[in-house]
Order: sequence, then C-alpha cells, then structure tokens
Amino acid sequence: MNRVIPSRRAFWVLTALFILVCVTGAAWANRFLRQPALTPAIRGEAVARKLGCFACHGAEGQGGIADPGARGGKVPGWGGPTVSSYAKNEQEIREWILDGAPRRLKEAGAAHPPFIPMPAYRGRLDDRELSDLVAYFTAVSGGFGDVPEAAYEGRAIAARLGCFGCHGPSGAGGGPNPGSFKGHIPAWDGEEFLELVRDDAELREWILDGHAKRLWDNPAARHFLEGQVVQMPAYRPHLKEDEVGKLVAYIRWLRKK
Amino acid sequence: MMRKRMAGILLAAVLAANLLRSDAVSTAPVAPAGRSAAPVYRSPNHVCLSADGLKAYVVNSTSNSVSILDIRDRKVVGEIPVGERPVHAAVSREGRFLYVSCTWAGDVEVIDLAEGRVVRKILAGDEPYGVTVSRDGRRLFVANAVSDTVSVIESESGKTLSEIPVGHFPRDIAETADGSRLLVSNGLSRGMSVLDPATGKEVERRDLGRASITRQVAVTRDGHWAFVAGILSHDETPSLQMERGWIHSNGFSVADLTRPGHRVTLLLDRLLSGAANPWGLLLSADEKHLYVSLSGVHEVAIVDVAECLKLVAETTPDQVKPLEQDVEVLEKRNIAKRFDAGGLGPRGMALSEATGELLVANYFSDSVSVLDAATGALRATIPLGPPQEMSLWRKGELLFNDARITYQTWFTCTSCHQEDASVDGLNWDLPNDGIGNPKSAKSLHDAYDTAPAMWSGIRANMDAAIAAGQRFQGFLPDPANHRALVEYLGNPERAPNPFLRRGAEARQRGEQVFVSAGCDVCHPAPKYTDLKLHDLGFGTPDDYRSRFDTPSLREVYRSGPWLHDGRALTLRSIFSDHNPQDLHGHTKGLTEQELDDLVAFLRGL
Repeated sequence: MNRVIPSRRAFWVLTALFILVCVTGAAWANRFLRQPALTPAIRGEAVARKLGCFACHGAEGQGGIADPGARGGKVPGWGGPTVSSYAKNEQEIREWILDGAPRRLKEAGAAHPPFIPMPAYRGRLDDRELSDLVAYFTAVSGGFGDVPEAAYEGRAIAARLGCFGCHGPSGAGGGPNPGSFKGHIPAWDGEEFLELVRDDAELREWILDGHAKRLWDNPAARHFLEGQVVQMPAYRPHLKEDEVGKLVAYIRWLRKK
Repeated sequence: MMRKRMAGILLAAVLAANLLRSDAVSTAPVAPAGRSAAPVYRSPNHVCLSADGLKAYVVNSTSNSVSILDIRDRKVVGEIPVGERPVHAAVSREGRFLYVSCTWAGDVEVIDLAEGRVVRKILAGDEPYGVTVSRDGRRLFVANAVSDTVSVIESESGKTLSEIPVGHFPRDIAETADGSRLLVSNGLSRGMSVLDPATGKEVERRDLGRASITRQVAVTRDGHWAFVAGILSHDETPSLQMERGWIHSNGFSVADLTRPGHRVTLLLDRLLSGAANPWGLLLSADEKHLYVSLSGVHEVAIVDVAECLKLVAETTPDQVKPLEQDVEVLEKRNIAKRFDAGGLGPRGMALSEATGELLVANYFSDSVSVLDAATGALRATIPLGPPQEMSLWRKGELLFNDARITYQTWFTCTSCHQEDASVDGLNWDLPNDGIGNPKSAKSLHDAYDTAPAMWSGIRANMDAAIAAGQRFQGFLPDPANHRALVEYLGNPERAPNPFLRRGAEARQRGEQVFVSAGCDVCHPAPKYTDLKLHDLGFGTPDDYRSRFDTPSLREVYRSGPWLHDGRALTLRSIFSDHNPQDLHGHTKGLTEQELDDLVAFLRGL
C-alpha cells in the first residue's frame, strides 16, 4: 500500500501558500473592513454637500454664484482672505450658519442686505454636524489670523505647491488612491498620520523624497508605495531649506490644534 | 408669600450690586496721558522781531503763549496767552499786529501788540502752521498742514480770498519781493510748491531730490534764488549704514527761480558728524549770510551765500546728484561754519539787524539764545521762565529729537517720524525683515498698545522696538534713555482731530459702511486693530512674510500715504484703486456717496 507521505517540499509550498493567503487576506480585509479614518473636516465636507452650501458658495466653497443685489456682485467664497472681512472668530461662523448672519452685523443693521440672503440652518443640523462643518470651513479658510508666523508661511507654501489638491483643504484628508495601503490619500492628522510619519525627520523625507526611508526599506510597505496610483512627488527641487522647515511647522501646528 | 418677597429683595440686591460694579469698572479705554499737565514747559518753536528790531516775540508752543523779549536788556518783558499749540508767527508790516498760527486751536490769532492781547481769531484750514504777511501787508498766507493747502487771507477782514492746494503737510511760506510767487515747503512731499497767488494756482512743484521734511524757506529780494532747509532721506537704498549720510544727510536746497526745475542741494554735514534736522532758515538783510538751525545737533550753521551761489553756478545738471551726496562739501569749499546754538533743540530764528544778533528759539531749553550774527559767538541766553527740571516724558521727547544718541549724529528718531512721532511719508527698506521690501514709516502713536510693532510685526512690542531703534542708531540701548523713550512713546500726544469739527452726519453714515463692509472685523474699536497679522494679497515676492500687522486706524487722517508700502496716496484710493480682489473689506460696488461717507468716518478716528 502506498501511503502518501507529505514531502518536505510540499510542506514548504503549503506553508508559503498559507502565508500568502493570510497576507493577501489581511490586506483585503484592511481595505474593506477598516474605514478610512475620517477627520472632522472631511465629515464636514459631506455635511456641506448635504446642506447644499456649495450650490451658492461654489465647489468646495471656493467662490460663489452671482448675486446681482450684493455689492461685490457674488456670494462670497470661504477662502482665507475673504473670511477675514466677514467673521471675527469661529463663534461668528457658527452664527452665520445657524442664524444667517452674526449677531454683530444684525445689531449694527447691515446697510447692504444681499439679494440672495444666507439661510439660517438652525434646527437643520445636529451639534456634531455643526462642529464638523465648522472644522471643514476652518480648513478651507485657513483659520482666523491667530496662526503663528512659521505655520502661516508653511501654509502659503503648501498652497503654492498644490499640496491641498491631493491632501484636501488644510491637509484635512484627500480623495481615493487605488493601490495604496489605505486606499486614499492620507490626512495630515489623525491616527494614520502617526503610522506614516513618526517624527519631523520622517516628515521631511516624505516631503523631499516622496516617501519615508523606513517604509521604503520595508518590502511590504514598498509594495504599496510603488503600486499606488497617485504617487507622492519628491519636492526636493522645488523647496528651499527654510521652506521645508515652515511646512513642517505648519503641519505640526495643525496637529497640535 | 414670604419666599417671594425674599426673592425680590435678593434680586434687587443683585441688580444694585451689578449697577455699582458697572459704575466702578468703567469699560471706556484709558487714554494715555500724553504731555503731563505739570510742569508746563514753554517749548519755543519760533521767534520773530518787532518792526524796530528791538523786541522779539517768542512763540511758546506748549504753554500756549507768546513771550515778549527786550533784546538789549536780555529779558522777558511780557507774555500773552494764545490758542492751543502755537507754532509760528509773523508781524504785520506796520508792526502793530502779531499773527500767531495755533495748530491745535485751528486758527490764526491776531495779537494787538499795543494792547497785549488777542483781538481776533482768523479761521484758516486745518492745522495752520507757517504764517507769512505779504510785502504790501494786505494779505496773510497760511500753510494749512493737514488740509494740504495755502490760504490767502485778507488781513484786515480775515476773509479767505483763496485756498490753494499744495503738497502734503505744507510748513512754511516765502513771498517773492514783487509778490508774484509764493514758495511753500512741504513737510511730507519731496518738492517745493511754487504758487501764483493772483491765479490761486500751483504753477510748479520744484523737485528737491531726496529732500524730506523740508521746513523753512527764504528767497532773495530779486526773486532769483530760493533756499529751503531739510533732511535728505536715502530711502532709495536699504538702510544699512549711516556713515557718510547714507541713511540721512542734512542741508538745504538752492533753487534758481528763473530756471524751472533747477535745484542744487548742499549738505551741512561733516564727514564724521551729521547736521541732523535742519529747521529754521533765514537770510540776512544784506543777503551775505544764510542761517540754518540744526535742531538735532543743537547747532546753527552760518552759510556764506556768495561762496554757496558760486558753487551752485558751477554745478552742471549731472553734478547735482553727486553734490547732494557730498558730506565733505562744507569743509572742502568752506561754504559754511557750524556753531553751538546755545540751547537744546534750536528751531525758529530771527535776525536783529539793529543789534547784529541772531536769536534762536531753543525748544528743549525753554530759552532764546543770542548769537553774534557775524561770528556765531554766544552772547547771551534768555530764559523764558524759571528753570524747571525735565520730567521723564520730556527727557524722552528730547531724546526722540536728539541726534547725540545716534552714531556720528546723522539723524534722530524724528528724521523719519517728525517731531511728533508720526510719519515722514516715505518707504524705508530696513534690514530687520530682509532687504528689497521697503515699507512706509509708521506713526509711533499706536505702538504702546497695539503690539506687535512694525508692519511685519518683527518687534514683539514697543519696548522691543525702542531697544532695536537704539541699536539701529548705532548704540546699545542705554537703560536711562530707554526708560525715558518708553515713557514718551508710551504716552503719545495726539493733536485734536480737526475732522471732528464738522460732518457728523457723514461720519455716522460712514460707520454703517465701515461695519457692513466688514472693516471692523480686523479694525475693531477702540484700537481699530485686532492686533493680528493678515494676508490680503498686498504682499509681493520680495516681502519677508505673507502677512502684515493690522495697523490701528486712530489718526489715520494724518498717517498717509496709506497701506504698508504707501501705495494709496489718498484714503479713498485704498478702496477705489487698491482693493481689486475685494479682500481688504468688501468695498466693491460702494457708491461714490458711500465711499465719501466711509472716508469721512475714517478721518474722524
């Protein structure tokens, strides 16, 4: 009788197969089971879309539709310099959203009510939606003038180089990236940022070389870095040394916030 | 029932306590003290002579009075009260009246010298500064510093015949002997206005090169040559080195009035010692000597007019600029000699032909010094009152005007900020925030409570800025000087705003526009700044930072030209020409009326 005795070779083949299935399975499971870690700002973008903000304030709040009755001729966008003549602070943004205008302006009796008035959304969104929406607005506008010097300059450099195009407004998190480990372009905050960037040195590597050396040297990580559709560019030729420092300062300030 | 009453009592008590508290803790901002009420310094700013040349009338700018001196007896024989902040005066032709310009009172006050009191007040424009009586005595010419005009006034009736637009901050006026031209020095424009009083028009703006904060002006009897004292401000180069006058040099310009555009500038500096802040300027009756007071170095220069005109005649057009930069010309060509003024802060002067003496008003010494007009030797010092110790504030004011705290005495704080710590209207490329990004000199009146300091916010606060200012002037911050300067700049003295005298309705409407355009978001009352940096797209690639410190709007009516690089020459143009993206307030689409109202509101701040 011939007994089938597993050969040494078969054992190794089976083991290898098993490991392969495990790894691939884990990767798939990761993609399907673990949702991308949403930042409040990204959730806020969905709130804005749901409420219809972009209908008047333009795509991503970048500039609005015509308002023939308004002095400026259009509904204002949410870009940084614009907000500085509409709202003093975050509280006033909440008042704009909830009541259609901040109390300060209502009390002063605006000389020029716009033709297309800002609606009052009180009662149409819950507290979490409101704080997410404000987080998104703050990301688009870049804040209220209390940004420290180096961070502000870093933000200006990020805007100039187009970082926010992929990483979302103020680095709040980007769109899908097929073939990447998480399936989307990472935010500059939250848990996944910590996985990708351990310290300032690694952040500099990401900016200058398009990847962190630690991950590049790891075959599994490298598999995803090389396989992802959108590749992080290496910005070394386009940045001066002090500019890298300002970018790092900006991202550190964002995270501290 | 009982509980209800108790609750009522409790409520009343709480309300009363709140009322008391709101009484005790006033929310009104505490205005800085400014110049303290006592002791009262006289601060003579100008001196002029009686018709016989034996009496002198001294204009005491901070005691609001005119002192009368007997020149031969070397003493004060009387003092006449006048309106607020008198700065200049002129005697009528027959010698009966003294016309005193009172900048803060906003009028020209007429003293009847026989009666020894003010008999009439003539309204001119805003902040009347220089006052000149026409050769025929029938008219008064008044330079209105804030209105940027010269008023031609009938002296007998006090009626304004015309108001002629000139450059910014006109200071002093000279009339040619034939009465066909008026020469006006402009404190904040780099040219001398030449006016035709008959047509009421400015016929020429004589370019004076790098001249800045020009002051007194004189003209020869034949109407050929005009002389004007002033600083030369090298704002065209980064402010890196003060040697050889490369930040400021000091002197006077000579203009041939028969040749349009002609101008030669001669410096009164020496190679190793600047002649900071020329102020008073006058010609002797024989036109042999020109006297220039150097207010920052406490000296008087006596210029040999013949030598000076010889040099001017030799100067070809291509030599004008090198000569303007030649800090050795005084010694090389022996055109002038410098003498101690006999007091601190020499400003206006008068020449008594009767006694052959030059009288110098010394602002900080509260005295008039008497110099031998030929030799420059000090003959006497006439105190205008009993000696008074300088307060810390006064010491600060002196230091602010004193070139002795600057390396080689090239300049003073006032060379860029005027004697009142405001502006010179120029863009300076200070190296503290990189090179290649000149920015307009800021008024220092708001530094004490609107940190950070400077347009780029490069200095954390006023204290740090004063220390840096002392280092900039070439020395380590001296602790005693620092305290005095902090006291002085920490309690700025503000002129009463002339725009508050009229147009209350327009200002009220303008405030509505101010709020609805969102101006108050970054410029909230009472400081009219949110103390933050903002990026409204005004920066250029050469700017060190993208954002600028939000300036206070207090006294914005006198801090022009406006915006960080002075690009807006009028308040209105800030909105009409320099806000293309509608980011500096949403001012797009404002009607002409709304713009006027907005400007009216701003001027009243």
